[in-house]
Amino acid sequence: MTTHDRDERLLESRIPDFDSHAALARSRERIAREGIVPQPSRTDALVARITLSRGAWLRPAVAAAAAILFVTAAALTGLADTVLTVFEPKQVATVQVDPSQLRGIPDPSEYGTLTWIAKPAPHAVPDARAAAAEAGFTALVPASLPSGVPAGPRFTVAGEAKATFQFDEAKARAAAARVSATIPPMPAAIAATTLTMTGGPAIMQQYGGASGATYSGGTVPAGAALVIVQTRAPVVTSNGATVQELRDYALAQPGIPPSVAAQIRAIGDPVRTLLIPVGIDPQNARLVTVRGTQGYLIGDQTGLGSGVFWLERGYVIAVFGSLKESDLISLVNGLH
Amino acid sequence: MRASAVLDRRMEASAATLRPARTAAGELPAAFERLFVREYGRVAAIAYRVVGDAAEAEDVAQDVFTSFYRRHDPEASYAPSWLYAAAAHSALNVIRGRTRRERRESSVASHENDRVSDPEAETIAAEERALVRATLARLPDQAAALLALRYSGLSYAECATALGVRIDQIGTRLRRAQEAFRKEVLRDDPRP
Repeated sequence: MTTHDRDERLLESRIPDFDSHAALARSRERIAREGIVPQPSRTDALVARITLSRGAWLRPAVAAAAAILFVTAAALTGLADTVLTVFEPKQVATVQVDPSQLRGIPDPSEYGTLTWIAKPAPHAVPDARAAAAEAGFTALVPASLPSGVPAGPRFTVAGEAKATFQFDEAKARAAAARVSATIPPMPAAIAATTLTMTGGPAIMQQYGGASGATYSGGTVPAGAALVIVQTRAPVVTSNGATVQELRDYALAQPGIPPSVAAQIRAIGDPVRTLLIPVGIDPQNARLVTVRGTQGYLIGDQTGLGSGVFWLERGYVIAVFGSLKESDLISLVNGLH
Repeated sequence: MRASAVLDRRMEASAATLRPARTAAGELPAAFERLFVREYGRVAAIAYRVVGDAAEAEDVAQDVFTSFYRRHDPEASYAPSWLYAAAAHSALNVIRGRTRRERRESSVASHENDRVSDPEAETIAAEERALVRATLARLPDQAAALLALRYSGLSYAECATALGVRIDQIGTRLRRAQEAFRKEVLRDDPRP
């Protein structure tokens, strides 16, 4: 027997037959004994969807994010051979996208090689002071907490993350071939380009909920009543291709809907605009004004949960929790 | 990303519609019971693949369903994936020595058929289960979880959704995980 055979056998050993009805009876008993009352949480649902279905929904988001990176800035064209800032968002704007229209797009991450220089490595810290000392900034905190949100936040800090992305035409072609797509030739300037992406540090405040439930390889604030994340806005620089070249190449990829391309081309200050790819769902996901700037809100008035994020003084700030939309906006406007 | 792709339409309904329907005494909401009966076997199998002990696997499965019951809509489209991922990671937490209630002394009646008449074969099988458990405990979380899911019978697509990775990455990740598993087994027990 080869070692390979043995490993297969080890992993394929017989699994007992489990009696689901007997188990259900035990579960009923436990739930009754412990008095467990289900409280479906939109926050948890949102986290679950983000964590579990990354493959399904993130692809168009990544595609859109790549398009963001590639978006043009007329003021910066013609500056090849210097380090260009191709993305440093100061504001948010939405681009209406139907994810089903983007399925034919080769995965942008396959257009080159991502190399981490520094990973964020999130870790718990005792309090706000320790968080500020590590992150190098003081996080905004609520002026007051809505009823139902317990005081005493837990703080998590993630250090600065830095990565490079080196374009690779052969890899891009191979990836496109796997989804039966053909991509246009990669311009020499882009093939020779490395993008450098920097983000963070970040501070997360979690009010209520478990100290962190681990699944899908990540620690998420399960059951939290309120979460506030503040991170330095990401910056992307290019050492070669201009923003114009990057944009033209991105928008020439197969499967980019003309309507999306038109919206991206129409962005007035694309380098400083974080584009949010969204479907048309104005009742539950829309731009709102918070703290004198535009933010993006997902929410409702039922109290099940709402989330909003915006850019402010060089930070991306996200606040979400089991709150009504109106309470969330009040809380955000009171942050100091 | 469409907002509706992030927030299930059910989640956009009123709070009232998310509250479980009233049920007869002792029974849980019908949607949860259907989910439980449909998925319990798989969830317990995933846990068993990791912990190698039927009673302990059932403990993990009970905890996973209870956690889901507390915070999630049983009709959410992500429910099975959530349960599978939670089973794998919870079972890995168990074998990595996290706080855990003591193992139960006796198995439930449904495991009568685990018992084999050949004591020597059972001893070997127990040793192998211990080897798998120790090996998975040393692998990176995502690799161990992928092996647990795949060798519990999940398809590539189901593994991809549960682990939050693209389906076209599963084959490569699985090969790497198998290779890592093989190396660890050889380190522990070089017998072929």
